Amino acid sequence: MLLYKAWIESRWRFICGAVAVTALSILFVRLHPILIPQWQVALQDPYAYKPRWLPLGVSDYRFYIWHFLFDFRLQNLWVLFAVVLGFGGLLREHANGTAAFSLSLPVTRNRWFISRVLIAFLETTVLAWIPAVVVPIASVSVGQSYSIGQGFAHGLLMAGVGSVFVGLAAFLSLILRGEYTPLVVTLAMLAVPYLVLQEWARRVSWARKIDIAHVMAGAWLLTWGDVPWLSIAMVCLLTVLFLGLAARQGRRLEF
Amino acid sequence: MAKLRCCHRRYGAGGIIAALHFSNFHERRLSVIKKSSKEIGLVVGSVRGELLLGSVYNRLSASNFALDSAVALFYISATVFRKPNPASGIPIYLQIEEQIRHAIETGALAPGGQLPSIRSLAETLVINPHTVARVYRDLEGQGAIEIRHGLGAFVAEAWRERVRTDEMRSAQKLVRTVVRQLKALGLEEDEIRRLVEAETVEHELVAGRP
Amino acid sequence: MDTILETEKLSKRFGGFEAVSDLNLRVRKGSICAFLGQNGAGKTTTLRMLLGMMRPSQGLGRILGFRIDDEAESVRIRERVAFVAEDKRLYDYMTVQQILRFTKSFFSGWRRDRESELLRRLDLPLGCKIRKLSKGMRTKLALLLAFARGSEFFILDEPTEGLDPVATEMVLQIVVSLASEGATVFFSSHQIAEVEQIADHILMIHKGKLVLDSPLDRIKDEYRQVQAVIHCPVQNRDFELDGVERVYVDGPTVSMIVSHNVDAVMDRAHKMNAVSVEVAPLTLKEIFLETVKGRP
Repeated sequence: MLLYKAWIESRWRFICGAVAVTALSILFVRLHPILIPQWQVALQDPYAYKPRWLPLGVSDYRFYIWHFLFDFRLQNLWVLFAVVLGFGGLLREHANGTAAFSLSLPVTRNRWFISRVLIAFLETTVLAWIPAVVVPIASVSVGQSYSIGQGFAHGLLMAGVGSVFVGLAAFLSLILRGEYTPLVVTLAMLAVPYLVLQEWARRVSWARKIDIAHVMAGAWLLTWGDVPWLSIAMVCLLTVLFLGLAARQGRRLEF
Repeated sequence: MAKLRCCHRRYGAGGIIAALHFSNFHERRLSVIKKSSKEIGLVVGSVRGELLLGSVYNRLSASNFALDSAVALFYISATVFRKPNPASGIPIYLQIEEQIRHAIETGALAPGGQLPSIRSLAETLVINPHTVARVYRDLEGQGAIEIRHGLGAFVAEAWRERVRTDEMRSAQKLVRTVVRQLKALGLEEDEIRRLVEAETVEHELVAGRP
Repeated sequence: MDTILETEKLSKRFGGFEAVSDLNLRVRKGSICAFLGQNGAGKTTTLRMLLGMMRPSQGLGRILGFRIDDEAESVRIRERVAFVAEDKRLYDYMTVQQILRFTKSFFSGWRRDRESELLRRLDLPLGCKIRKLSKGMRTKLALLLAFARGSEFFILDEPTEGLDPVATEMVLQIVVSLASEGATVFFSSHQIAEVEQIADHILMIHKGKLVLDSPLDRIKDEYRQVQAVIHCPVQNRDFELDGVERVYVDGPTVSMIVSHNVDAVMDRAHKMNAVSVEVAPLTLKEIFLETVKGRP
């Protein structure tokens, strides 16, 4: 029943996320036939601005999808929703007055926390896998094909590594009081480093190893040999740390 | 339904139940009583009626109460017992004891008749069940009622009641004389009542009633 | 077990402020015990500590033999105790039906008969979203979710707050009904009239300390207001007797609030050649006001 409550509580956030992810995926698929000709022209023009990946973007549809979705816009959107779905919990209930009822039930603080975070992980994983289904289908309409396997692999990497954001949101939700304060603060915390780190990683190659966004994106064509095991392990450790701290904080809270 | 409505207009809730009782309604099955109780609830139209009926027919289904006595009990509850005033100087248990004694003395509660169960009286008057238990214990101590284990509380047999009725009659004559004298002195009814209350309350309190 | 709730030197400090100090409570099984106190006197803090929402700074507490400061035992307490907080807000996004299904899943002793009886009497629409309910209906729903649990102990913080007189009477009647079945009820209320009607034991808290702990019958039997008219100069200390809580002198009139020992007080008044000595009972409201007034 706790899982049921966590689901009803986050249902609309999840649905918004699903709609947004679907729309974004379809948008970029549909943009492909429009962008490619423009890029081909740019490639011929010696004075045009040509990013290094442009030739690959023109020649390989899979790179195009990876670049715009899993490395860029979709990832940003997904992280946003990961935080939106990750925040909440007893402190939020305290801000809107229902904590007294929840805490009167014979449920330990741990159970409350685990059930909520579990649902958040499930929802964010499903969100990460929506493109794996939508993109191949939409690609048919622009005369391209995209492997479902690649889609699922990228989605899994994104959700798996990105779970750290869910963990962060869950942790801050039990530190900061207020109905929306933890959400706002988490987003603010992400916006700056996320953007700054990305800029920096572009220039310094070893920074790529700690750039979570980079780790989440992975290689544009995922194969077993390419998986960055160390980076993934480090990030997962961080997630576990956040969750552990959050659970401990939850147990110590006073209402 | 129409007949019930007419009954209510003339005699109130007590009247309806009396009508049910006397028309051998009690011989029908529980489900019929339940259905009609709901109708009666509508007719009575007051929350109190619904409350009292609710507690009666819940008791009916919970314990195998003889239907006619349950109906008769309801009749008694609705008319004999007035809700006590917790803020008056008189403790609630004394008020209820007084009501029961008065009912027995005037014959409203017949000798040998059954009193409501502790639970149902507590629910009807919305007072603490321990208070009702205490009232019944005190009255049993005074010999006014008998508590038969497992069956309930019953008004004690006739001889006490007859004695009290005689006492009540002479007391009434005394009171009538005194009131007439006080009125001759020029006192208003309110003033007379206040004097009597003050006298009885102080007497009880100073005498250290248990 | 005769005592269903007991605390020993229960205290709660917030920084330098002592919200609750040295509270020794005892609630007997089967009683309807009222917890009185002004706003901010420490009632809600005490209840929160009892239910494990807050940890005591000092002291112990046990409900049904389980410790209140250990989370595992606190969960065992909550399986058998129904608590309704002062804030009766419920999950806005659920319907009445959904929250019923949700709540009953935690209690194996859930009373379906009570649930349907109360749904009908309190007139709660099953399909309505809780955010659309009025405050009164939300209160009734919160109470229903507690009453139907089949618990043996109910802790209610201001159960009739915001309810109209009809609903109030209904709630009091349900409380009496629960007590008749053997349950214990511990409730806090500002409606002293209600308390006087159904409670059998009174606990009064003021500025975090327990100032009164007595059966209601004893309070009503022993508390008196004694008014004497004495035509010679009287000082407060002339009436510094055991049982005299407060003395007011205004000209020849001496008015005293006495908690016990009335006979000794009347004797003293007569010894001082009082022209008249009147003894009057006190309502619980007056006793409450006098007990908390002017206490440091």
